[in-house]
Amino acid sequence: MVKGFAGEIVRVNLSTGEVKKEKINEEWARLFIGGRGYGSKIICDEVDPKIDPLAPGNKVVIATGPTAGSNAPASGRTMVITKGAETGTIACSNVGGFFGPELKRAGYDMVIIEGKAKQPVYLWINDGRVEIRDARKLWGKKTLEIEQVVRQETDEKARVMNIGPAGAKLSRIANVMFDAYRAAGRSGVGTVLGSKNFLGIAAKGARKFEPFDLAETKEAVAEARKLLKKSKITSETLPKLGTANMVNVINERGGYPVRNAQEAYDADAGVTGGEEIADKILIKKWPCAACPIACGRVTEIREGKYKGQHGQGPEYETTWSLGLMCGVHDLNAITYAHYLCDEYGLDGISAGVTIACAMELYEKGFIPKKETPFPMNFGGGDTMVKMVQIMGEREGVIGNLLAEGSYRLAEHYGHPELSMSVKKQEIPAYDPRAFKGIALNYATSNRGACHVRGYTISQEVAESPYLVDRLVYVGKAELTKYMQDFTAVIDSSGMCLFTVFGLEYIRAYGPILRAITGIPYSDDELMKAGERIYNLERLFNLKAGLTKKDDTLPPRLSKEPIPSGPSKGEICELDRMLPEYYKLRGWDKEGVPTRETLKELGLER
Amino acid sequence: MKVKVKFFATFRELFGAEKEIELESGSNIQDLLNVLGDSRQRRQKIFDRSGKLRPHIKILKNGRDIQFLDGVRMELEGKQIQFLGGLQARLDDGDVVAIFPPVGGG
Repeated sequence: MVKGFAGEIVRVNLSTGEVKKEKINEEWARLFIGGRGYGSKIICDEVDPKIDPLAPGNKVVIATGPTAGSNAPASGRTMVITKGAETGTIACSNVGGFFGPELKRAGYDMVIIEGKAKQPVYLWINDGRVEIRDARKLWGKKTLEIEQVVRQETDEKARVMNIGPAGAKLSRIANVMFDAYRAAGRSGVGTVLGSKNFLGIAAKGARKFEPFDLAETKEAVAEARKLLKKSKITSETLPKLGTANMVNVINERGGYPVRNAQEAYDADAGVTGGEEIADKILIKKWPCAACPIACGRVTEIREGKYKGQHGQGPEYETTWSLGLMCGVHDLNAITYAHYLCDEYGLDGISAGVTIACAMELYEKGFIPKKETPFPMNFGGGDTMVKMVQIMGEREGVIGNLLAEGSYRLAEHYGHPELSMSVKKQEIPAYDPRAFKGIALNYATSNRGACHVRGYTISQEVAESPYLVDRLVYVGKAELTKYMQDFTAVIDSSGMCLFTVFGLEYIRAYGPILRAITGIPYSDDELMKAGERIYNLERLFNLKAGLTKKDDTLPPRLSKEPIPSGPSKGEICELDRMLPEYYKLRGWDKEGVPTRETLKELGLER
Repeated sequence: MKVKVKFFATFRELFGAEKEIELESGSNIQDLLNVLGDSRQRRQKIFDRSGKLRPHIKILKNGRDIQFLDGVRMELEGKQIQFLGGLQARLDDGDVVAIFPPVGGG
């Protein structure tokens, strides 16, 4: 039997109340590793790709990887996999915290949620026992309150994941909060749980983690930890400054989208960066399970209108989306808005980018003044905060539309081109015109615009493990494919993507996975598994009706030259990379995997 | 000539946030770093024991990684040789140089 896994999956049908336990499929563990890969296999096998994401027939898999519960560095990741409410694509949202290892200690590698409950419920998984509980009085409450009450009702030491008001009100950009402050943010995975009247899960257990070979596991883990200590990124910059160390890094390259990406540089962006966060609001750093990096920020607002508010964050992504993307320089307002996103259960990236889109629609006169409760110009910190509030509450005409995400908002007002999104999912904090690799990744990511499913910024900026010229097209197809496949392995292992800044290559992950699972996959076979997972997700999207036309960028981010700053004049010609990318992937000219490719990957029907 | 130098992240602890540096015309990035390394501590932050730039320190000239800047072109034994930018990248009056420690994540 494969080791590392708890060995069981629990399947909960909310329509019937039936709870079933299933054994881990060992063949799938070899072919799809675990976490994202294994969970995607379940969704692809069991969910009709054409289904309405909010229909009871959609399912949600909450999946840990085989490393969860071990001492492998940063191995506390959990994946939430479903058909995304925002994108209509396969969605897999990756989150840190402590929930994943606790779920495994409670006896399960994964939870499959199917059907729809008649009234709101949550799941209490207590050392193997699974109980469906009434959640009516918690439905629509803020996430922090829910987390506290659920722990009181179950066990103070339980780990909790839950949706908030945004998920309950079916906002298309609702997330799932884990351990109060960590977000499975993207693609509307919280919305799908909301559609099922499913609040979340509390888990607690005492089962021991059992690797295949303890001595080898210890050795491989020690080696990995040594590498993370050696890397200045993971041992110095990320712990000291958090993810927002990247604000100045990206802005100084002129690739930092400002005011709905009308510009890509701001001379004062630094006031929202990691250095200022460390100086002005940081209380302490916060690590997820088994993490030696500790990039999380515990913060408190110490001055101004929002003084006394506290929580975690902002991160690089949210200090940008709620900050300069909306033309906002006020770190306190940004921080408070980040807290609000967490409490409403809104994806912070999509929330900020949607607000930026609304601001541009407003300034250009595309939103009738009578529909707006207050002026929505770029630059106002308090305005941005108010917009998060009406979005979270779905208040009024605008609040209701903001909750649908930028694409549906902009389409409603007749200007979908002003939504900075791909496959309806909002872009993260890298202007694709200034980084050609990340541009190709935005266009081809299976869950819509995304940086972490193929983080070419590692090579285009961080020199990890080597540096390539961010502005050239040559080699970017190969780099993007490589990072996408590699990331699929890391996501499926249960480890954090940030370990890549120290571990760098598959050869550092292979020994950990082999020692823990006992599966003798070679490093090459692991990379092949990553490619298999990527193609599996692609097949789901193609069956859902997506085509080559969806592998694109918003017109602004491809055709309009960056107007000023260090990347002035840059555009992004996807056509210079996409055909080569399809070819390297073994896809035809329409972006469809060929029969030979599917055969090679073992994905043929 | 004068160039503006911006320091970020952990470099600010030793160098401050921003400096304007006066250099002889024709100077390059290496010359600038020599001026910046004016104390033992500062020099050690930039260079290793053998005097080489420490790995993963990021230097941008006007937003471009210096590795990818065009440097000096010359003819040697009849062949066109082009030195890459890097530390030899030439500086001009008004250039903005940004210096970062190893960065990533986000």
